[in-house]
Amino acid sequence: MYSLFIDTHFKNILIGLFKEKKLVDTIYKKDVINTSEIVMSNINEILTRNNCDSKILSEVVVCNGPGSFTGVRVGVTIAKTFAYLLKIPIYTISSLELVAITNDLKDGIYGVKENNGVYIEKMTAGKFNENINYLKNTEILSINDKILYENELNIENLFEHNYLLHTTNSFDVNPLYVKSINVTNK
Amino acid sequence: MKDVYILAIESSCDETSIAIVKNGNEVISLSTNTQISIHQNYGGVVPELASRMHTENILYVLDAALKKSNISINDINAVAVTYGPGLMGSLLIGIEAAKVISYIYKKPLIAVNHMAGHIYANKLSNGMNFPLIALVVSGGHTDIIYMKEDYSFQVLGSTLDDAIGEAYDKIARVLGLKYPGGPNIERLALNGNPSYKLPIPMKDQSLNMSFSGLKSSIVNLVHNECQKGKEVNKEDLACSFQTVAVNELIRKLEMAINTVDVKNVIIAGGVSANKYLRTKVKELTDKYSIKLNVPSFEYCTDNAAMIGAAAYYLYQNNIFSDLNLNAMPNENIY
Repeated sequence: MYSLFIDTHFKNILIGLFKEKKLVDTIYKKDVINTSEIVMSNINEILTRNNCDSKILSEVVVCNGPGSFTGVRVGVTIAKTFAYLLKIPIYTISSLELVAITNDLKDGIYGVKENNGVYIEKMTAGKFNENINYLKNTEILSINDKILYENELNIENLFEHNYLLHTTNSFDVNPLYVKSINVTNK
Repeated sequence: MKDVYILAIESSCDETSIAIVKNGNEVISLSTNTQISIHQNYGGVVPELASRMHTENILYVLDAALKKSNISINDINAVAVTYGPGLMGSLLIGIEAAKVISYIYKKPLIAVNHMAGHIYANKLSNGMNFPLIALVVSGGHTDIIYMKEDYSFQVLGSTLDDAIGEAYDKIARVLGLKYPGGPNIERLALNGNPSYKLPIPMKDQSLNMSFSGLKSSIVNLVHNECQKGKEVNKEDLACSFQTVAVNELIRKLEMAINTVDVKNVIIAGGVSANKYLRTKVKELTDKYSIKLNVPSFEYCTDNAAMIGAAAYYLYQNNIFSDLNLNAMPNENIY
């Protein structure tokens, strides 16, 4: 069975292909400006070079943020449309959980950067406290050195942490925005 | 000839809409989720909110359109999607969903311009007979276009500032009416008289138009009356505005009719649903014995059926896009 992994939560795009839950290939693009232009063509690339038709996929895993709103929406829309059309399960994992997996789930404060600030979440005894905060760059200075930031993500062990993969009906998979929209009622 | 079925997606502003259109002129199914009631709280479309709603709604709309049609995606010939103009974040949702459908089912992807969609909405009702003049009136456009043939758009005249729909919306706000302003102004105007003296937009002989001066004069008038502790007669003001604005459109349209030889006049865009405008254009085309075609009311506002109609010509001419398609928020066809 093949699983497709899609992460577009910020400037670095990661696409992964798993066979029997083992990572067989990845495409990593750094500092992407036009996410929309490259995601689907690279999904095509990873499937094609592994001789897979899209219909062979058994599940899709998508990072649903937090991060860049537009970036996350691109990945989530692609993933949920795949899941719906192929009638396969979809799993979401947060960007913070991905950073934690990359860091072997060690305790600490994890951070995911965005243009003007950082999303942070604290992990104790291998578990997140399920309370993501957003701090502006100016607010984060005092604790900056204590935060475990993402470097290049490592998804090799993604399926060893099954409990971090959240499943929902494809119709209702949505981004984790954390920040609400600032508009004044008129 | 074999029938052609196109699945079309439109998400450029605040409607998530998906349709299946046969041969560019017959709507097999149409499913639209409108966000009007959500944006009403803010007096206009909030782009980030619109993008969030599209993401939430897209599969529900797709599922409804497919179920209504009794057609399997396998039997569809192509997938069409609006690539612009519109809101970046909103356009992307439709585009990404369209790419996935096109990719999985190996169907060609067609990128459709939103304004071409509004014009081709006419194919869904009375058709288009070339050469023609298209009067495109919406929240973002006010253009008089000459079309010699399919997909040939020559601008004869255009607004130099506000679009007419934009003026309707802003005046509606000043009068305390809900978004979208057009239908509400039209409703008020029905019970009013054109008793307010308002400036005539552009007295020149070009085919260009201007609505910002007219809009500002009304905004100022309302504020001045308010400062004096008086209230404006909303019905009369709405009627006065509509009369001046539509007369200006008609005056320029008449000049255009006298400039080029056409068989047909069509109207397109959200404001083409305005009944006063329709009546006035009809009077004008009758005067010149030119056939007038108007889209049905349901295809005047943003919808995916018109995108499917506009995509048909591109399909027949093998004008296809690919997985690298990006949204072009400011892309015009003319």
